[in-house]
Amino acid sequence: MNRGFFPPAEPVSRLIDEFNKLPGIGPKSAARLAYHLLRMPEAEARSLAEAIIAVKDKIVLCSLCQNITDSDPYAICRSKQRDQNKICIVEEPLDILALERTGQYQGLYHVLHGVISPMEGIGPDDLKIRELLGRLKSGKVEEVILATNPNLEGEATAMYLQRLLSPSGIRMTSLARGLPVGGDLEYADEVTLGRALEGRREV
Amino acid sequence: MATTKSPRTASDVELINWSALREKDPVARLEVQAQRASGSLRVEIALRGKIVAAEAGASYVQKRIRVNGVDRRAMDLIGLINVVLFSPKDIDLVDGEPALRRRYLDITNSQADHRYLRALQRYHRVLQRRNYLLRLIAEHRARPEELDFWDRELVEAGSYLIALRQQTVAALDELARPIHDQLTEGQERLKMIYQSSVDKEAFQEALSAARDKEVAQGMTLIGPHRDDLRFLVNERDMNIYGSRGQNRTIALSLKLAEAKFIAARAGDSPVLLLDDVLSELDAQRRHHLLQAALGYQQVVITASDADRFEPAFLARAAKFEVRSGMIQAL
Repeated sequence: MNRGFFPPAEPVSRLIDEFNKLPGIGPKSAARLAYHLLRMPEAEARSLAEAIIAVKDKIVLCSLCQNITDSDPYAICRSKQRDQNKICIVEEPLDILALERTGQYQGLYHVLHGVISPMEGIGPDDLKIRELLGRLKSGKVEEVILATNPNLEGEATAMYLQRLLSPSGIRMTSLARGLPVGGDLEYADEVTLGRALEGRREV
Repeated sequence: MATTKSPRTASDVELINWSALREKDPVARLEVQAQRASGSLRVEIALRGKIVAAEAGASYVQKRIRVNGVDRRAMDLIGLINVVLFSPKDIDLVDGEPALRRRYLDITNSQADHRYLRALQRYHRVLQRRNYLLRLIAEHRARPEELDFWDRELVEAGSYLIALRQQTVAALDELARPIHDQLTEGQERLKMIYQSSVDKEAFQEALSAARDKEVAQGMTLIGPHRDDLRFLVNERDMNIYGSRGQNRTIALSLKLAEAKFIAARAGDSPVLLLDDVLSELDAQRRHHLLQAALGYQQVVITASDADRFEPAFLARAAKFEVRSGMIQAL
């Protein structure tokens, strides 16, 4: 045993351990957060605890797009303003936020909740693909936009979907690969620049 | 400076002076001023040791690479300063494992072609994932159709690797033959052959044919990661039949050919580094090697003893002595 080492009281060390499990939080930050909570007025601490519970109690997956929502169907799926003929397929709920920030997309979404990843044992059956096929059956969808990440797993997933959906005759597109806006040609790697050349267009 | 890694050690920590490691903020710094056909180049690499446990010395290093004063990634440095190193260990290239010869071809190609390096990295990432998937299929946790994407990527990156390795071996073979003739006074006829586990034109078909076997074994059985480079002397395979002396000379011919190869590819001559080679050659081969070395733009030769050199050669060389870690011009 470490002589002279007294751990904090059990509820505090338990809280530290729980914080430590969160992404981006190491043991030091966890301890700092725990002691911060100790000094907090009780009402505030309760409000935080309730917010954490509410997130687990009230949040469900939208039965259509599979995004996380507190009211099923999700706001975008319910909206009459959205173009019902387009579905954009993304890996994670956060990707929807990124695309919404552009303000340039008016169609619907579908969240896969992951990508095909043999190393983690994740195959097509572990993704929300069955739900996607169900949505496409209605026949209203004219275009599917594949917006998985431009890495190996994302490309594997996109190709799987492309093969799966091509008999349906639905138009399929994917996001363009190329140069970041405000970037510098000199600093672009050869692969990105090569893709940008391939995808060049008339001006 | 050519590869950002030391050929002597796998761990960058060991590049920092041993006694400096026991001090606060241990650093090692290396700077090279190079003149290339395209202009002059200043490359700096600084290693800063980070101490994790005081008694163990620095546990890892932070590497900073700058080219002409601008920070660069390690990958961008490859190909900037071309170097061909021959060390006594290179005999392993001829009589060692196939993996060593593949690694040799990969390094040679990456120096000359950035696209090769990209394809190589992609190939290994695809290979790793494909092997995982093969095991999942064997355990009935994935379907064989899921291989389609990984097959296509493996074929695309793999065919490029094979094509470039074949080209390189053909070029090296042509360059090494006259050099080897000279070193052995025409006694030994060297032939280098790239032996591929698959015909690159029929890679996809071969993968489909091998699928059941691959699933059963849980790994990818064909592709450039299974290929080899063979050295034949007078039609005999030197990996099996070569003597140490023969194999050492082959490794040397290969390195001398590589220097010519890179010169042709890169537009200017690489620096040829011959580390402690003279002690292991007989007087005749030593003579021929020194003659051959005169045909290169810049050659650095190390030896434990100046007597190993012929006086005529020494007269044309700049000489330095290393004594107790200090370098002095003679």
